[in-house]
Amino acid sequence: MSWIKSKGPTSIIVFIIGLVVLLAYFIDVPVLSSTSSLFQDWAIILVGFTVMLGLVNSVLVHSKNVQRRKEDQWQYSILFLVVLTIHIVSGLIDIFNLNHPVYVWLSEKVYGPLSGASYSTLGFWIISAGYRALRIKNREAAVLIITAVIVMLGNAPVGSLIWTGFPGLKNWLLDVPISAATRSTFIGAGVAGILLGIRVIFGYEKKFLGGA
Amino acid sequence: MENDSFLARLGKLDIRIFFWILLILTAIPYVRPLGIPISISVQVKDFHKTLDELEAGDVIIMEQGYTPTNYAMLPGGPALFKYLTVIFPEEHGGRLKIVLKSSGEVGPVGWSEKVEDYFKEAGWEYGVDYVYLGYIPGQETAIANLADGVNTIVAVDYYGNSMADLEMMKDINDYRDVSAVISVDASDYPDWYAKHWSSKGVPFVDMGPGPYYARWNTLYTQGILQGLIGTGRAAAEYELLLGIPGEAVASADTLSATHLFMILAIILGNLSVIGRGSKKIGGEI
Repeated sequence: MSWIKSKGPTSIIVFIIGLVVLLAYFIDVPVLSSTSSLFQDWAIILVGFTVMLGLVNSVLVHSKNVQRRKEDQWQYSILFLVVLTIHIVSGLIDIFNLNHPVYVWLSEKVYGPLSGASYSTLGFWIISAGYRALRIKNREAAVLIITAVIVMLGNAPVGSLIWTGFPGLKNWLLDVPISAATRSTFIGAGVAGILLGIRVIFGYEKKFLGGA
Repeated sequence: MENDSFLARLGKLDIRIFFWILLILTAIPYVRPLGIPISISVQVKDFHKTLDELEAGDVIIMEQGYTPTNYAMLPGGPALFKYLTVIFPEEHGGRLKIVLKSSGEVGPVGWSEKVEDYFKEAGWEYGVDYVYLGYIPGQETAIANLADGVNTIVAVDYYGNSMADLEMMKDINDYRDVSAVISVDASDYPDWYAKHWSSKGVPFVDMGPGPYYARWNTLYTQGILQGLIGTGRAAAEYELLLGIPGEAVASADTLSATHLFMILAIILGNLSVIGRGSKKIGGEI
């Protein structure tokens, strides 16, 4: 059984699957394309399992908090575990329609409003950051803040009333310098992704195998 | 603090004052709208034009990311769903065929809570006019596979119906049978739809939140996205364009008030720097 745990077989599997999917993108051969699609279907199924993995991990972590009576935490862990259990059980009872009253109530009357509430606190964080942290201490900070102000005035309808040029200036900023910077970031990330993929396929990257 | 100048004291105000003012400025325009005029941008016009050029019976793939976590970030959602289910059929003499899927696990919650009702209330027939495939894990891989097999990526839909039993899915095989893709979400999905659908020539429009606007605008300026509603203001423009002012238009005045207040907060904070003199300030937050 030790060969299953060794990194050799895993590296070979990664190499074969990675090479097939990569070649299928460039070479139009039916067998290659269908095999690549099959591998990608398997990947979709595996990702579904990772959701379960996250759930199991959360349960383990919070169960330990309760078991060890972790200070200022174990009460919330109990609440988490109870709500999680109720939500899962009520969802499984009506698995295809998800219309169980308890499930619907938790989703629509608890989860929905809480999500909106947590997102709404962003406005307060931003005003706090704007007042306390956005200070013109150097040229770069000045450019950042002036750009932010122009974009805000260009975006808000009232900006057009102050000066009709704000929307146009905002559009120019977004279409030219900001687009250029965003594209360069994407290109860099894309090149890094290609290099990482090649390293993983050819076995140079071993961290995902649990090694150094 | 007693020895500080007036300008320096401007930088030490209790932050709770700002929170209260922000709360009041957010609420007042909802009670008493200011009615500040809004011009309609070219991105929003293109978004509408792309959908308006479709014909009755055309197939659309829709990324259903309108969820409880995203309702506030996607204020144009109700207008879009109303357009697709009511206005488009009236103007074009027939309905589209819409296949919806969610790449996020919360997608089904938004579907069952709000989105499905738009279709039901407009009298759409499930399996004939629209199908919801549910949450499909795999993110980019799933979106790429969807392009090669719309009716094979999953065996059953969200309700457990086999693909073979759904009348409209029989004629939808891959991207060649799809006339447009609409992404309504607050995540990275437009990137993947751009790579695997737009690259195959399928028109693609996106409705997303403000923080992603700069990113998706680069796709729009390159012609990869054929339309973009990327901010709350753009959602208000879309509602006005359709002639159905709603939540987004109502929040546009709030946008003006809060943006001006944000600029004032930045000015006050920087005036205090002047008040404390030109010596280097150790960042106090």
